[in-house]
Amino acid sequence: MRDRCVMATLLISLSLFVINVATLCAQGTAPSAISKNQRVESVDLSGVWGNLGSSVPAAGAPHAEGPYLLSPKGSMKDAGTPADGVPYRPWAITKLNSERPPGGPHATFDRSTDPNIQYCELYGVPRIYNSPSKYKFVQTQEAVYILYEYGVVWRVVWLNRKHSADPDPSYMGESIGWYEGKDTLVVDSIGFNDKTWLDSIGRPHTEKLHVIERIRKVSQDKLELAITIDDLGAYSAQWSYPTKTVDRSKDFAKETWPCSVRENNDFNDSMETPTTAPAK
Amino acid sequence: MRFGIFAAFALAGALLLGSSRLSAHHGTSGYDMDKDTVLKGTITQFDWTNPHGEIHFDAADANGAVQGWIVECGPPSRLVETGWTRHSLASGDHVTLYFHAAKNGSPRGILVKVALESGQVLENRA
Repeated sequence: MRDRCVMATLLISLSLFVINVATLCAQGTAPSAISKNQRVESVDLSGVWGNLGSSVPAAGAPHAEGPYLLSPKGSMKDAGTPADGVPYRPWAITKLNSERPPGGPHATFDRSTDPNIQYCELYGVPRIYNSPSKYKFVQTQEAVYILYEYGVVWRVVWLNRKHSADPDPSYMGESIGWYEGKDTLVVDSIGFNDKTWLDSIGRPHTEKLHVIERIRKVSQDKLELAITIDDLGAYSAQWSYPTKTVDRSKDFAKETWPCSVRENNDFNDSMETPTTAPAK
Repeated sequence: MRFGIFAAFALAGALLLGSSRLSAHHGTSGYDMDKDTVLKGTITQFDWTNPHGEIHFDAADANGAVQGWIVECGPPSRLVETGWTRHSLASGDHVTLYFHAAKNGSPRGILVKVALESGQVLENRA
């Protein structure tokens, strides 16, 4: 009788385990909610990170590539062409080619159509990583907060939570995250408006944008940032930027980098307009 | 044939180099990045500001006529990485500026580096 009870208990436990696993699988890649007492395996992302731009070279001197998000294929000069490996919808490449971006092979000096330069609208994701500035992760049990110097902006990456059914469109989207293994934070974001650019080249997106960031700590002083774009409104298939290596830095927020329309206009008046005026 | 291959590599290199000259805020197509300009000048104003700092200075041309210039440098958050502070330059300082001047001949440019009277050299970071 006792053996039967033990066997029945084991069967019930096994059934519950199978049901739980099936539920997890049905929810996709994001783990389900983790109970308060469960230990969360995480990667320590503390510190300051970022690639900090490069010096302006003298004539003929070599120039290091900036910390910019480029294209799956080709070099910077191929960005925005069929050689760049991005599966643009026809309207998306037409819109890209109509822009006056601050970066890429067609970088313009003045009268940029960049919504960040024109209006100081937030960079959004993943463009926020295009800035040659620093960022910091603040990790808690319920969320990872990412603080960015550029734009003086922050995001919340909710752990142990699913996406909202219908998030309101916003500049930085709605982000959930989870840890994979002992070295990676995965950030999954939806709920974007369509006002931002994906990068400084000017690649557009729609409100269907879904961004997956895989932030892997490869050593004490290096992160790898792999970004996948999933937006069937603008692109016919998922595509990924080349993995970026991000260096450990220091002195977070010693100088933040706010965006000011007034300062942009002042710079336009003092530098851009005189520099682009017809030669006398 | 060998010249053709060399020319192709040179063109590819030029395209790559030219295209990689980027700024967080704007391109550099307004400046002659293939030519360095060096001027000794007197600082008249230093704007420690975003999106780019601005160095205003007076410099004499070959005929001795004094002209007011403005060259841009990086924003404060980048300049601090190479030792700049908002007090690095002050009105009246005598400095030597290395920069790329505007293509259209206007007295504007983008800084490469500035040598102070003390001998300290501050590099631009954009």
